[in-house]
Amino acid sequence: MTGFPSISWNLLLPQIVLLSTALFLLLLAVIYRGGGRSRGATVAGAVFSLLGLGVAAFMALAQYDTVADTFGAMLRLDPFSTFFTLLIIGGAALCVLLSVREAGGLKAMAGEYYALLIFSVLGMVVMVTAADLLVIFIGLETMSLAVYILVGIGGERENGAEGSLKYFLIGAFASAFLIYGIALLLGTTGTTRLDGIASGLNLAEGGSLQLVAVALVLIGFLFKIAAVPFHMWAPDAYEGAPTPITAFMAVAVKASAFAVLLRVLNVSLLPLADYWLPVMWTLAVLTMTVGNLAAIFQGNIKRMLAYSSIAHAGYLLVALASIDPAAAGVGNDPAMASVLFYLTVYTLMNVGAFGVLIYLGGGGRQMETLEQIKGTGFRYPLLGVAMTVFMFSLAGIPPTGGFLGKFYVFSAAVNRGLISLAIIGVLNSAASAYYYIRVTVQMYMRQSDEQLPGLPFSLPLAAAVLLALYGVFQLGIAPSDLLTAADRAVLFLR
Amino acid sequence: MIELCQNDILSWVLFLPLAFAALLAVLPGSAKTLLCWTAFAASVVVFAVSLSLWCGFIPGEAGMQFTIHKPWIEQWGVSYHLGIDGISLLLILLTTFLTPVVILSTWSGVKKNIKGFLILLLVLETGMLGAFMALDLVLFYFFWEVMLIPMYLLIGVWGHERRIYAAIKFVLYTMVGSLLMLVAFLYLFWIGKESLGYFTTDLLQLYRVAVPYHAQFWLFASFALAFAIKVPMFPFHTWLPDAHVEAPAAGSVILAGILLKMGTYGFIRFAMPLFPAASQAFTPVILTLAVIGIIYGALVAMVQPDLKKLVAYSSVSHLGFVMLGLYTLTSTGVTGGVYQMLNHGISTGALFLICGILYERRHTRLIDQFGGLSSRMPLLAVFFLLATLSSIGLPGLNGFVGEFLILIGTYGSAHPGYVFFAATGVILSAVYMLWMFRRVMFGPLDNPQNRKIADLSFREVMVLLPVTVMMFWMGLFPGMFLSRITPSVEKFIDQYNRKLELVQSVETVKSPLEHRVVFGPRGGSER
Repeated sequence: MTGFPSISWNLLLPQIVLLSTALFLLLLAVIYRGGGRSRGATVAGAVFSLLGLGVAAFMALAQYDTVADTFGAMLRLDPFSTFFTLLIIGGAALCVLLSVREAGGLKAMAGEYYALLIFSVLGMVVMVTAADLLVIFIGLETMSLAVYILVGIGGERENGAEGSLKYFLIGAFASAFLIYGIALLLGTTGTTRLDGIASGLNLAEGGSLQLVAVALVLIGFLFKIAAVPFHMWAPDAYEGAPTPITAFMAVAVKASAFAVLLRVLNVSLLPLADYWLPVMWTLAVLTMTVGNLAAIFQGNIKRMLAYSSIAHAGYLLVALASIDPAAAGVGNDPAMASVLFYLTVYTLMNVGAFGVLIYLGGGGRQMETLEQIKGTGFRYPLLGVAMTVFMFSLAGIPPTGGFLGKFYVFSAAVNRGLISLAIIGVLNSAASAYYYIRVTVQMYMRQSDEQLPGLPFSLPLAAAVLLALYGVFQLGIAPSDLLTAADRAVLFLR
Repeated sequence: MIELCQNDILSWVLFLPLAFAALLAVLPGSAKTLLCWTAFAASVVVFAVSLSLWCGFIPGEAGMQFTIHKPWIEQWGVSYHLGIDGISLLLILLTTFLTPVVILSTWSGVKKNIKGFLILLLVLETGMLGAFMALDLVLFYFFWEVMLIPMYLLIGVWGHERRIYAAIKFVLYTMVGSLLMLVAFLYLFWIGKESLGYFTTDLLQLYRVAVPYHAQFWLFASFALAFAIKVPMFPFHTWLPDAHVEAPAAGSVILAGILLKMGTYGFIRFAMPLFPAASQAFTPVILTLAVIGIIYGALVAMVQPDLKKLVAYSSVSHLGFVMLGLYTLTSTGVTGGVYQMLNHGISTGALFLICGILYERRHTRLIDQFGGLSSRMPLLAVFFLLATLSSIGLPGLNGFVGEFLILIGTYGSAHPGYVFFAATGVILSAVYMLWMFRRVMFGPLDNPQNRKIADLSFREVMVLLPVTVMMFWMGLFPGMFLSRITPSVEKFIDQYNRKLELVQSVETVKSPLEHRVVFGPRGGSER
């Protein structure tokens, strides 16, 4: 008698808190719209979003050591899922801080903006705790639908609608791949459960159909991390979206997709490692190289950061290509732990960079292209220093977290004897230095053509940038705690 | 309490400049005099503290002294491991000595944003000191790259017309080299793990690892590339003239005086002792490139119309000498090479300071714009002549000691033939330096713009005086420096030779790592 599965509700507290927050925010939008006090709605929206995220994070932190299945083992709670839950909530909270000013410009939409943001966080948290492909799919769709709307929410922006539509169409296509792959897997292995798939995989019997199924599932995820050749949507969506949403997509969406990819590859697809490791190798090289080369030619900083985020997905794929299938049960695999470390650093430095861009745009003057940021370094010294740190961190230069992140990833590759992959990676990293330092060239070494306006102080933005700055240095100088957490988290993947 | 300070003295020297940089950051940017004096005082304090290293250093001892060893990133076996021997001691003192001189020299030359400039100089000092002190490869790489950012900004923001091009070229050249070295580091760590049984990035422990020859070859090649770019050795020198010419005077002094030594220091501290067998195999290549550098640098310097470019190419020539000295692998030659590193820092530093002084007055670096300046600037003429003679290697001044030791060492080494080319370089250096000096200082004062030129101010004398005193001191009393260098050099050579034998003896055994290196995508079933 299976019946209705017993549910340990207390294990689902983070998700429940997020859901109630999102629903409450929707309600808030209705209340405030009636009163027409949109300014109040923005601030209240941000405050309640932060509150909800904070409580959810607290709940997640409280169950940090818990390892349990619930919902008929459809959801799995372990340090790995908790690590990503916290990372996603943290990234989302920083993005809420970035949003306060931007969302104010959206007037009527402010309430919905935060509600959608929290809904997508809920989707992500479901994704990273899922133990079943169908649940992953549900989480992924919850996340994606909310983000599609958020990309196009800045109505006045000319390319917002274009980016949103492109993202939606290609995203829908990717979802179709994913669900088709899941269906084929169900047909050939008899289950959609992640651990069940591993035992159901039998190439002798299932044959090529199973490989097709696996390929389709992986393509679905690779779309979300914008790996080349599934990256076409990213530059347009990144450029068209309101900048805080761009940051949100670059960090949280990517982190959750990588979490799922790590779990699926390790829990379900380990028997097929011989097939997907070379694929990851090739994708890593393609993604790094295409991302970096395209970024060099961008004049718009958001678009440049979009390509840079593609390139960083490439570095993360280097780590996936370095996974050691034989390391199962014999302690942690540095390749997997490096993904967790890298994603954390990546979240901080990207949020910081986008935060500085948003701050610079506060003076009523658009600051999105390399032309427009000329001379801002000395005019706004603190923002200049912060941006320089983030750029050098993205380029992987110490004493920033970006350096140790790359160090970890490439050391995992060398550990597995993938010397050529590491060399391609570092050469890419050197090429990327060119476009990152060009931002500092524009800020410090060229003069602005016109008088630069003073910038109004914004507490939430300043807080986000400072937090990111602190994090980037902290992880670059004293990373031990995070390394321990990452090492521990990946132990639960096998 | 004093005991405690004694133990951490290296950390103090290392991080004091950074602390002072933080102090400068909170001072108001408009208070120029305050900023300048604070920065100068700060660098003098750092120099004073670093002198205690000189006093506390035990001259006869070859090993690392003042060591600090604390865990840093325990998961990766990375430690905060500092220590100095006779070689790094003197390079550290060169750094702390040149920094106040440079700061004093910038007071009038830097017109905009002097606060940022001074902060970057102090951050740079920490980076350089850290690279000389680090006994852990990750820590070393950390400081090695940290130096990049301030130098890039110094060139790019405060440099001359083509500064942005020069700054980007400087960063990209350095980064390509150092990132390939990073991969070599990572590979070395894994070899070390297989050999030692635990993962460590500690230099002194990795010294004990006998790296299989085929791996040594590639590892040495990537280390050597990174360091050769920094030295710079021919043909990796093309970034240097650009960076030197476009950098502000202070930047050039630091670049030539200290940053270039990172390359040669890298060879003697890392590339050579870690991979002696490969180093041995590369010796003919390196000696040839060194000699080409000596002669090529001198010939190109001879025809430069630009004063700074001339000094820049003379650096290529002089650093070729240093490399020659290091690769003699005789006690005399290597000691001479190390001594020549210091000499070059002092004499080329002085020459760049003088270039800066002339540029401030005339806003040109072209030699034919000058001429006959000695009648208007007799004080400068004296300092300039001494710096020129020191650079040429006149007996009694510092340059002579280094060059002489290198030539003797080369003659006594396994490759005496290179002496011929090196000696030619000595002659050529006299030709281009003296010719340059004649064209700038002597002859008719026919350019009307030079008529009103003012002689050195008191501050400028104070900039040049300490450097000049050092030229005499190091030229007349080399013993007190050499006695500290020689034991460490002898230990280095001894270690090098012993490890060479060790590697040759294990070479018959097939390396367990050999089959693990795969070039290209592959599946996961190999284990």
